[in-house]
Amino acid sequence: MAITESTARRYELADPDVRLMLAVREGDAAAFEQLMQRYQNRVLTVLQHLVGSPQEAEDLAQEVFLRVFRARKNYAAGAKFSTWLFTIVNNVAFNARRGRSRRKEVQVRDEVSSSGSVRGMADLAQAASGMMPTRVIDKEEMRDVVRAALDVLNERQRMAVLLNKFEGLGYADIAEAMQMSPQAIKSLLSRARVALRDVIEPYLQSGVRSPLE
Amino acid sequence: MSNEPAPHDAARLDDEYVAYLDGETPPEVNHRLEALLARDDAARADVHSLERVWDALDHLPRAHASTAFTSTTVEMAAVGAEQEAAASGRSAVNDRWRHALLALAVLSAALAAGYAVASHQGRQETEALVKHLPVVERLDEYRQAGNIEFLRQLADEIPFDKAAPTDAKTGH
Repeated sequence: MAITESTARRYELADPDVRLMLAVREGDAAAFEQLMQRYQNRVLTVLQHLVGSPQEAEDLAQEVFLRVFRARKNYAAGAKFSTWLFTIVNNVAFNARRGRSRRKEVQVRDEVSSSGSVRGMADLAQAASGMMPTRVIDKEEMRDVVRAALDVLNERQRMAVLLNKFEGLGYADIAEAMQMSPQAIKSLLSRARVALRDVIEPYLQSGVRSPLE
Repeated sequence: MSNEPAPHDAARLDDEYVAYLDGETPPEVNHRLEALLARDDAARADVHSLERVWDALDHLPRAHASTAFTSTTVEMAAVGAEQEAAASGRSAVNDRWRHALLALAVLSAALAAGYAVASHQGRQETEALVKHLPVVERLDEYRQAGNIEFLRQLADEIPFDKAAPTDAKTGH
């Protein structure tokens, strides 16, 4: 879609990251590094929750920033920078999923779970030091429950949830990043929240973990 | 007859509740929902539980890029710029890009290396403590002995394996 000059000017004035990207387009290498510093953890967080493996997430995040760099010459400010960036994140994640399903690989979470030996060591260390506050256990357990709840979502729901929750993108921006209609995003997020509730709510109510996990 | 809403209505209500919580409902829907929430306990409980579940997502961990992430990515971008330059004929702009990116990559790598050295030094101190643990454990006794010459004389006159028969039994 063609971007009018007034739209480009509006985004340039409103969004400092658009200005940085325009500087990248003009050959400012430091602006590229600045954009990376501002977004790398955010991109990585979304990708890590999408693909599970921290190593794969880092590889994909690298691919995202290299695509940003490669696209610099044709960049035009037609959206907030974050919306444009997360469109690339969505495409990279989609391609990775497609490649993975072709290889029929099993998704494995590399992060250490509550049953993992490293976590067990941490618990032992805490117990040995005499500091075992209940809230620490609750926090870890809560994290596991929420993580398991995210796994219940399909990939589109998960992406929409992560963009909405972590990036604070509105329905219109998420729709643009995921190339869907805002109405579809509304429905996607609603289904996602209901599915999350089915897993998380029993735990919040009674501390009982859902059999869905 | 049941008072439960039909599944279609329930789904529509969920859509509206979620959009309401996300601040994505138009003013007229807001007014309608607020009136409903004011009079209907079940609706209020539904919205509250959706809100609590959403808040629970704050427990998800945030990722942090490794120290080498920026430098390796910038390096790869520099290589890409170089390939672009080679493909389209070198220009002053491409050279400027390549040099700037390489300088940034070197700077980022230096920062990453500095961090690695600092953490390595910390590790070395720990490793030294572990290595000399037998000495550290008996440091008080060694201090009481006064000096090394005295210990040598003692060792010459009374071999340790004879001086401490109970220790020899346990191997300590």
